[in-house]
Amino acid sequence: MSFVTALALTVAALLAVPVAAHLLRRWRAEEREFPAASLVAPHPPVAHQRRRLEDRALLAVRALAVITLAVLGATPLVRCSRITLARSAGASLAVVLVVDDSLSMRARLPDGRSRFEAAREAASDLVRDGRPGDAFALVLAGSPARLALAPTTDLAAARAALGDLAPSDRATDLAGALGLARSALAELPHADRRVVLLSDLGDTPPPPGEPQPWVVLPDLATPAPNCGVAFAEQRGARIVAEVACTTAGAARGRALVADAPAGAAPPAASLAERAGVQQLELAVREAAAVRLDGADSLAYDDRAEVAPEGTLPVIGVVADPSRAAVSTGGATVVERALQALERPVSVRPLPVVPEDDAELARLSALVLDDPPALAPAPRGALVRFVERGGVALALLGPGVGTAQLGSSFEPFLVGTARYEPTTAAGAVPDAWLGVDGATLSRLNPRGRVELRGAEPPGAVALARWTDGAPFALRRVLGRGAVLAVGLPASVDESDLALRPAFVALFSDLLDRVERIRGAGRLTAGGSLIAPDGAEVRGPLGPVVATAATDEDGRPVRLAVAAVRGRYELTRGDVVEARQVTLDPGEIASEPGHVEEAARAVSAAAEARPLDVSREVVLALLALVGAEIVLRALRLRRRDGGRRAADPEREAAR
Amino acid sequence: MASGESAALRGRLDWGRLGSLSLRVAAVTEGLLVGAHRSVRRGAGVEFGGHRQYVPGDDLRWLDRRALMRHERLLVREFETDTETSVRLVLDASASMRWASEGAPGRKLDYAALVLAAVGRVALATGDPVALEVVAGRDAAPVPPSVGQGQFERLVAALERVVPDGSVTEGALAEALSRIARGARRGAVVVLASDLLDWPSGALEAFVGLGAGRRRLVAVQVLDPAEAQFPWSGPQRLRSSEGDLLVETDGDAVRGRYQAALLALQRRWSDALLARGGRLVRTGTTEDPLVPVREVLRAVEARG
Repeated sequence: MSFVTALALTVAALLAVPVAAHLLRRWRAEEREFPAASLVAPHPPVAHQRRRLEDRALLAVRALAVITLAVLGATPLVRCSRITLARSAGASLAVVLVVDDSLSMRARLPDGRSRFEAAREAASDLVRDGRPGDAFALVLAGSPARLALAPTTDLAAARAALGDLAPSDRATDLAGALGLARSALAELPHADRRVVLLSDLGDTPPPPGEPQPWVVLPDLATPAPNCGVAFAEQRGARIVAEVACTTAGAARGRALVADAPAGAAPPAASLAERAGVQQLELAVREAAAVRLDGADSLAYDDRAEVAPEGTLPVIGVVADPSRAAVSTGGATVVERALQALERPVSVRPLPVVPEDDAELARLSALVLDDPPALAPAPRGALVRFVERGGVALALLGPGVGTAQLGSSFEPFLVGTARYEPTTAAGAVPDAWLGVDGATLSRLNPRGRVELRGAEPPGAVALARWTDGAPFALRRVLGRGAVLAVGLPASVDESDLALRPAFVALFSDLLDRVERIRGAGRLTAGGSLIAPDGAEVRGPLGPVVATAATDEDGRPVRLAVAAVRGRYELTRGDVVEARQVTLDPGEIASEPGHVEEAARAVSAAAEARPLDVSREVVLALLALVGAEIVLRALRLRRRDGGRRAADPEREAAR
Repeated sequence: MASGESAALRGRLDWGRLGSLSLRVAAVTEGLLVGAHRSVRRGAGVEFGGHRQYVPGDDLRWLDRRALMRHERLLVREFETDTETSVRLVLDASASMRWASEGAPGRKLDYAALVLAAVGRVALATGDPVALEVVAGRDAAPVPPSVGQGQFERLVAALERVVPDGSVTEGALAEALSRIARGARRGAVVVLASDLLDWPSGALEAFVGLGAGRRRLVAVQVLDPAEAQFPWSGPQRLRSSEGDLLVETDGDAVRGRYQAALLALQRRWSDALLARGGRLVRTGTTEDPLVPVREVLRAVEARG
């Protein structure tokens, strides 16, 4: 037993003092005058009467006063149970609260709270500990990192911002969040600047930098085995699901199970006992949801709704396999390039350009490899498809020479185009295709489609041959766009397909599709791109969409999908659906390790004493006042009796 | 005495209701002046009162000539005459009379003084001389017997001037009672107002001794409600108003015994007074003062 414990017990024993005082006082009842006292027989009080407490209210007040006094005495020994801000020199602080609102923060702590709730409470404690002059900012570390509250000295605003926080299904972006926090601090004049990190560190370790983040709750980074379903999608007669696990142990003995009608055995697929992401298939024609059996630290991601088929963007490819396929056979070069991207898209080979609007409406983009000129019917359907938000890419080649009467390359080109041998070597992109675009400079084609003079109105040259002729054109048409490249995919005609720029070309195409029509499936935290005037509704209700313009200058509306589920973009009678899934990387991420320095900062701050002496003294004064009032009431009662008994003596006094 | 104080005492009673009351003494009085009460004295009355032997000096007008001729003896005719009855008021002004419990309407002394003033008023209205003796207390001076409105004013002034204090000692009591014995003739009425508490031993006998001269004795015991009921519960420390007596007791446990002791005290006084033709009137400070006044008048009228 420590000295402090013994001292505390001694102080606790003082509680017996007022009780004893009241009991002792009971030995002598209050004396009163009674003229007929000579007729009263003496009757000493018996023991149980002596033990009876006479004035319970006064006793309670005195006992409370003793307790308060003990608490006041123990104030220097009381350690802070809540998070407080240590002030080295008493100066005001600039604090950026980095609160992780990613999916992994939904995991439960041993005390029943979620990591996110614990983080928010700790942040609230810190704001409550703020003093006038302290500046607070709030950065959310769910991907992408956001500045939820710019630095402000308005503590009420900080409290309100914390109150509005809600957990999300985003991935973690600690690096971005710390970068935002440090940049927010850089603008402040405070000498003492802090970055408070309230996260499970379920990402790469925080990047080094000053100020060092203060990890307030290291317990959040306690490892918690977890497996979760990132997404599940119906594909024909099967369900394809992506499952991620933090550790092999978390996957051991667990299986993915599809919801089945009552009485039927649910189809299941066992998880491989390994950490990371794995894809599972269930032979189920229709099911509402899939789930992981067993239990782990985060039940939220153990179940996922099955997205209907068709949520992926469909890319139609019109290519002649005899000319655009590799000599070993198989898919065409264009299809292989799209598959090489490993993007969530569905590639659908088409024999010809569809003339039916409905058939084209199922597509998000259409790629034409070395097409002949388009007849009026498919050309009109293609224009309408593009104007409604579709993207069309034409890889022009020798086929341009097989134009039939009445056909043209509208809307890619105007007039006639011809394929001709060229000596021009290499193309120079205008900041197109990024780093991979530079590989176009090594092109050495046998021939090319001369685009010079065939540019449609409003077309922009994305890259040019070394002789200045356009290599690729882009034209905005309605909500969509058309791209024309002067080389085909066939390796017999050029080495374009052998260059990284070729794959980058299709990546750019898919990016454009996403920008215009939005991704059919995106991970939580991503932006939903809706047509201008559209309303967005998510699993939790309407989602605020902000007006913006795409890179082509067209007005669109952007909404953030913070949680998984189905989102509907409604504009008039047209409803587009988007499926938001979990990030498998976030599910599989394990809490990181708290840097020793961050721990040291945390420990130093937590060890400071809790100064509640002011409140305790006020309480003590209130108790003293209550005792005075009680005693005054008692005296008044007694004096009232005396005055009535002897008014003359009282008057003489 | 301030006139306001006098008005205060007067204001506590509906004096108009005293108008219908009169003092009628059942016993034959021995007054000197003509009054409303039958007197042992014979004189110029209208009702024949008998004969007696003539003695020199008798008024020859009352010599019964017919009896002289019939019996050959000198007899004088006597007639009964009405004389006044002296009323002696005795007030206990000891310290216990100043006490009033919480919630009581007033002190016992005030109530007793009011009752005595009312009795005195009735007596004065009847034409009887009234005197006042005060036992114990400060600023207490006896009021010699007299009649008329002026006497009532003197009575009231004296009653209001009394400050309760001290105890009823045997010496003070004997002095007051001897004054009464000397001045009050046969048939006089002596009214004592007191709580009868803490009186010295022998006080009862001394007071009852006044009845030897066929005086009518009435003792009015004035008690506070708390003295009658002993309402307290639990442990109590009770200090007597007179003396140093301190009693530690339990209210619930001794209430019955206290009330029995009080009843025994009252019975002792009542029995002693009845033996002398007197009465004990018991009242409390919460009672209408007219009630004990009527009781006193009835006690005086009663033939004991």
